[in-house]
Amino acid sequence: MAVPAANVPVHVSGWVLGLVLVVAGAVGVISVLTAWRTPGLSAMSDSTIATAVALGAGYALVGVGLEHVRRGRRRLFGMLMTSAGLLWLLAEWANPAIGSSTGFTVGLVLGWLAPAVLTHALLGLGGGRLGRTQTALVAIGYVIFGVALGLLPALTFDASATSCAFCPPDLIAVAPSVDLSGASIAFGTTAGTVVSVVVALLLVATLVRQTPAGRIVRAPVLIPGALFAATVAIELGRAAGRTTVPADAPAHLLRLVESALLIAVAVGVAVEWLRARRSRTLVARVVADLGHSPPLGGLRDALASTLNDPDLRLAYPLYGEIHVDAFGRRLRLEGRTRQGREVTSIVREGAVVALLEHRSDVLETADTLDEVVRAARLGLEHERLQAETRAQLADLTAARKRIVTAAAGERQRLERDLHDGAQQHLIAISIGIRLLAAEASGLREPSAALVSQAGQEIALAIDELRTVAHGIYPSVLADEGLAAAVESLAEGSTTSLSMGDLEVDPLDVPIAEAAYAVVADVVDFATGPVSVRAARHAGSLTLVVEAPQIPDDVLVELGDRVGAVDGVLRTASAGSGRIELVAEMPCVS
Amino acid sequence: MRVVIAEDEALLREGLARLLGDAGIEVVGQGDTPDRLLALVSRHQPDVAIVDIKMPPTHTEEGIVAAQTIRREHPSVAVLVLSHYLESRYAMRLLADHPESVGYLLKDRVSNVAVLVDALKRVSEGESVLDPTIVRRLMSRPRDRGPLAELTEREREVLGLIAEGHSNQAIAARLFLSLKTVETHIRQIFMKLDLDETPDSHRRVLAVLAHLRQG
Repeated sequence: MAVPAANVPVHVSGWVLGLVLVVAGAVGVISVLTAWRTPGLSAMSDSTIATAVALGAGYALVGVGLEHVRRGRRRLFGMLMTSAGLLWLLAEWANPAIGSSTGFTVGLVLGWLAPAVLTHALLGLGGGRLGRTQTALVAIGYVIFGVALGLLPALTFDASATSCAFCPPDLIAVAPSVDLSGASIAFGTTAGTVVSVVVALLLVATLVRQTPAGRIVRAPVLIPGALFAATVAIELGRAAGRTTVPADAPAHLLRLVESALLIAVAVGVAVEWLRARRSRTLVARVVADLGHSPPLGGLRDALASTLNDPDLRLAYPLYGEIHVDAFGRRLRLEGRTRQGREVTSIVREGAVVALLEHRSDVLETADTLDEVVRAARLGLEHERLQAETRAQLADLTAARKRIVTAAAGERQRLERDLHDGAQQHLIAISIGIRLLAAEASGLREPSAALVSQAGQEIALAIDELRTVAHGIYPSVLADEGLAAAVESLAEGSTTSLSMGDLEVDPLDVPIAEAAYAVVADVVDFATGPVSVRAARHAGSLTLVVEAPQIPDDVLVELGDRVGAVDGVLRTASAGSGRIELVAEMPCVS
Repeated sequence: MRVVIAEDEALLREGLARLLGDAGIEVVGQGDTPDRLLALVSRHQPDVAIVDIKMPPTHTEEGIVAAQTIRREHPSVAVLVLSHYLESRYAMRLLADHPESVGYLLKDRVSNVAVLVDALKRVSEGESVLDPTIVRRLMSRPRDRGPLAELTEREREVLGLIAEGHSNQAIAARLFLSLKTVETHIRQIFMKLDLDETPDSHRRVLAVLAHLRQG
């Protein structure tokens, strides 16, 4: 269900895994038998306990590595861990007591490789590609541990010169030379010491660079890993510049410590799985809670706390490229542009149902995303539908507001046009007629009467125009506010309008217009006295209008008008055929 | 009588000037902005300044502000504001500071020269003038039973004329009553409305207006 772009799960069939497991078992058994035969020559140990710990370390790495491969995520890490475990067990094969020339040769070549492979695994733990320094370090590691300490000495192994009479033949000793092999080992131990120190420091630095949450997750793996590299450095440092690596008591003690640290690394990886499972349980619980009383945005909070990423954002796709949060608000995901953050699509049945913007490393902790998303599926679906509905509702509300605002603006413009245009012209015409009448005072009676009648008609027209203009938009509302506009309404209305407390100005013009519209329409339709009062309280305007019953369709219209400014209109019976309208509108206080 | 006219609509301004000229009133200056108006008043010291309420820049109530400035800075110049606002609040604003020698007429009155000339004469003599339409609107406003309902028909007539700014003599002349009778009516009215009777006829206009506007 979760598909991070670069990390598509691949399933490896069971029998391949089984085969690797059987091989690992066999390698371990051979190593233990070899170690027991000649404890003095063993690379592994000089005691039963040390042997057991070394065997445990190899098996533990193989175990967690194979489990990783089986889970199908970060397969490379799993394979490297498995290899490191196998190689750790193979180290013992360089013991001549193995008695098999093939085994001895393999042991000679691969015996030192385990630290290099483990370094590769741990440096790649952060996910994604290795950095340039890291890649170089891994390559150098392979050269030193694989070639300088392995392949080259094997190619130049000289059984006679090393006074190893009982050594099985080295099958690839094509140019036996004590000098060459000694030089290679001397270089390998010196360079290996340096590289191991650098790896140890780099692993510590990697840990320090993590976010606090990432540090908690990574510490169980990186700390033993760094200590392992440090121990390897000490082991090689003791032999630095020498032509052979000693197998004395201190060397055995160091090997025991290394084995124990490898077990700790394996345990650290297993701890990540446990953490992931716990996250899933946690999210599952949150989702179960969501089922009872879904708090909007609760899923994001739950995911943020589960994944230890307080800035985590959860977005739902709306139309195409538009994303919204659980509340339906527009959201711009920055994962692709912001350092250290990325966006993961959550896909179901081929469609993206949600997008998660998160810290780049947050989902690398085992299979967290998969676990989390599986648990949160129902919650996601629920929130996605809610988000969609809310976003559409917000769009509609915004559209309604725009329409109402535009209408109010248009009414105001009309009022201005009527007053400043038409009315001015009419007055000018009436003056013209008056002048005309004065000039032509000698007119015969019928004509004089006509002129005077025209003057009266124009006076009437001016009067009517004024009433119409005022009805369209009372200019006093924009100039002086709601109280003044209601007062002016009271002055001119034919029904009694009594005003209570109206000290609510200044209001935003759209709010004032909506409030005025309620009062004006009620007064228009009321068949008896109307009373009005208003109050402001905590960012909200409450307008109360008490009036005789007015038609339902007018109430619906007024509800729309109030709703357009995000307000609510409620009506209640006020007794004896009267009603009370209460409009609550948000206003900046 | 000498007047200046401030009105931004040229046709109206010219027409008004001619109309007044025909009626024997000397128009000594015409302007179209508040600034021009104030300059004209300073220069000509006319008897009356006729001021349109709507002038640049916002075309809302610049005229009222200009009128108040004239009354403050040139006490000898009366002001007649022409408006198309029926709302009494604009008139009230105009009268509130300097009620004497100030008038507020609806613009369409200008075509009735007699009314206009009468108003000019009254403000130049120091009276207050308030458009009868505005007063009628206030008087006829529906209201719950209050002291206004207890006035007799004649008392209501007298009250209306007081609100329009008429003096006792003018009221007596209009209603064909003796001055004494008018004074008796006025005393009755003020008692019924619970208003302090003041000999200052301008304050009297304000008090009556305030009462009528209360609703």
